[in-house]
Amino acid sequence: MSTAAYSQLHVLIVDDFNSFRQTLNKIMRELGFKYVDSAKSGDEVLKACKKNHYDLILCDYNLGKGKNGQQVLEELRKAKRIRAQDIFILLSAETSRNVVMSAYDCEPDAYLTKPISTKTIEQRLKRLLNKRKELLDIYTTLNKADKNTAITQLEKKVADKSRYSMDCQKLLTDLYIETQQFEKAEMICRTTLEVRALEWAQVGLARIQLAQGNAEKAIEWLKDIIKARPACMKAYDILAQAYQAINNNEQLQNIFEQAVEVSPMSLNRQLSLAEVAMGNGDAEIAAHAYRKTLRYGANTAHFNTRNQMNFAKSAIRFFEQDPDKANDIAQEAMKTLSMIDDKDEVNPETKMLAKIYSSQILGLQKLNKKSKEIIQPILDSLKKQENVSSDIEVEVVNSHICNQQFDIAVLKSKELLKKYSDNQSVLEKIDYLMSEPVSEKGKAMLQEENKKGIGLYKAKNNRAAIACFGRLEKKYPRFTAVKLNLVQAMIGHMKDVGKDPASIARCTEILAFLKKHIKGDDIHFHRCQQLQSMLSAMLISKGVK
Amino acid sequence: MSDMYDMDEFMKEALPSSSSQSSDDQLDFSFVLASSVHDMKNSLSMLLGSLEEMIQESSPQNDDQKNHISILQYEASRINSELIQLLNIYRLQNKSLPFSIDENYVVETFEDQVARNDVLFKTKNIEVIIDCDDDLVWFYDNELLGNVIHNILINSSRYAKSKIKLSAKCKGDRLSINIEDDGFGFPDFMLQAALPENNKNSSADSTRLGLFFAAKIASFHKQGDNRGEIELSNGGSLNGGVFTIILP
Repeated sequence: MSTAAYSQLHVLIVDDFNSFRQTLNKIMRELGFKYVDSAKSGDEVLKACKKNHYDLILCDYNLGKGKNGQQVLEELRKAKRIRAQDIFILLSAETSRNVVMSAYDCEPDAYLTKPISTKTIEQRLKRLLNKRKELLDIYTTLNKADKNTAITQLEKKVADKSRYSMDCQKLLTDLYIETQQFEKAEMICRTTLEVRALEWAQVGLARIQLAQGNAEKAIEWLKDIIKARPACMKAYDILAQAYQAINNNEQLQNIFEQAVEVSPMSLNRQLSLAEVAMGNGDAEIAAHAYRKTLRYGANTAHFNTRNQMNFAKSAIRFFEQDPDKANDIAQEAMKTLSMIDDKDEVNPETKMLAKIYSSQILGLQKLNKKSKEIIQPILDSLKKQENVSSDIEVEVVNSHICNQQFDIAVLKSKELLKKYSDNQSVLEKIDYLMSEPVSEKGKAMLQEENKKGIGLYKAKNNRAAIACFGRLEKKYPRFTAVKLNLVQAMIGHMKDVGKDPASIARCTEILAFLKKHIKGDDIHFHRCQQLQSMLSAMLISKGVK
Repeated sequence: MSDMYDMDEFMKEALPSSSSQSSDDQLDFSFVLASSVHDMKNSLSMLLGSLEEMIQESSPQNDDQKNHISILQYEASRINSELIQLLNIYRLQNKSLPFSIDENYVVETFEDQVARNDVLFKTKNIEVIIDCDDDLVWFYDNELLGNVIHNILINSSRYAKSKIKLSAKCKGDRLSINIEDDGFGFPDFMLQAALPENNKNSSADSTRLGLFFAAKIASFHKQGDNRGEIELSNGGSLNGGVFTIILP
């Protein structure tokens, strides 16, 4: 069975079980392959692919600790360690839903379930290598990113009725969209859909709409596709792009949440979810998603440290929002932060930031003495240091806040405001610390969202108003105006539907916070008192628990 | 065949929609069963894998051994493939499995399933013939249809004397797949069970498990008002049993 062509190809076998690696190795050599390497973990694959180039990778799904087969493939693609013509075959002994979904989601060249007969491998390889041979010219052009030549080559294949016309049509659709030849792309999709309602062509049409700037229409179509085919992951990804295009971060988070529910193993989507949730102030979702990206194990060193830091930051925010619920995750963040300190390759600034984060967690745990032991040496060294990064300065202030040192925090934040008065991106970071926005973006956002919430409140739609102010409050937990509006909407809601202990507790907590921070000369002082008496009146009225 | 009827009972429990009861308890139970099925299936996969390795390392010494091995292989494959189908249907009904229709080369689907059972056919000395235009393409979920064909092939290997033939033809706007063997053909009660009016009622108790699965998977394939279906007959080009899958 050995063919001369096989002997030139480089093969990588990936499995955490030695016996299976040996079996596959034997099969591959019998088939005539000469260059066969093996790896037993995702990390080893990435290392091997950095050193050598493999034409064919046979990778088991389950690789023990760390990354699984899907994540290995995602990572190889991201790092561009895999060329268009390279073949990646995913193997798997188990066929649990997650594994099947993973295989479907990441689109390897083939997915084979164990037990795998020699004949199966032989046959599949023959077929895949035939395809590679016929399309090699096109793959080579694509690797050079020469889209126009690739289009000409693909058009010719389709005209010649190649055996791989279908694959060529899909590639053509992508390239037409990328080169803005929308009519041609639409033609392929429509012609395909006339024969059969195929997923890729349906998604294709939505992509064309999106690429032409009709995000709303794309969103409508994609929602329909997902309704009919809840496992169509491509549709989720394009829908996410559409929400990004119209800056709807709330829906963006929502769609990523749905997507990771359907196909939980994709590292990229978990990361996207974490990032957008953090931006939305939904620290709980962000912390959990970041934690998952870390659990999937060792990535490149840089990526990993960044994720660890982001995980810690989201865990701290979550801990601020809900100390009871976030207790465990805050503990985990502490451990993660100490790991960063132990790593040699991490730069000093990141290490310092990690320490400041630790001091914040300790402060929130009311372990102020321990917190001070960590932060004091940093404060001392910062005094001597020039060019301190704004991230460090902002987080130092936050550490004071976490340690209930509000007067120092106010003083230091005033200094920062002066120093960065013309630096909007730093001001945006400072917004989080303040009782009112200081950046242009923060001001505009507050104005817009507040208007929305007040409109809802006036329209007697208290439930929606609470949701609106609640979201804002999560994002900017110290904005006084937002907090007051939230309390007012909650009291209004209770007047309509009756009191409930959770809302009362929440109002009481917010007002207690405000009382601590609002002095008599504050413009919000009067309203704060008013709301307090409204709440008190409610508490003593009939029927209160 | 008695084991199949036990499996029938099991199947009714495991598939929520084919049950007349619809309490939450029933759903929980079906989940537990599905998980057990999954576990059993994994064990059988391991067993089959070891068996194949064993055969490759040392071929059977005499006919008796050969016979034992082929029974082992046949029974393990049969249950394994039925469990796979059971799980697939369970997941499809829970909408947790992608059902993805794409354009496929029919001959490749055939070749995959024949290769999958290569060792079984060799130990049983069965010649498998594929009669299909190389360029014939059709729209179906390759994974699911592949499992149906896999299951039928295993069953045919039990009854075929020496030959199994897979063929496919396009008839108008439908694809007709035939899997024929040179055995004694299907008994009457099975021919009856496979009639469309009988396999529409998914919990008809005389329906054989394999038939039920095949019919179910076929019927997931829809185009306009057309649905996929199965047919059983006797005769054909090998003068044995003929299993037909028709897809719109």
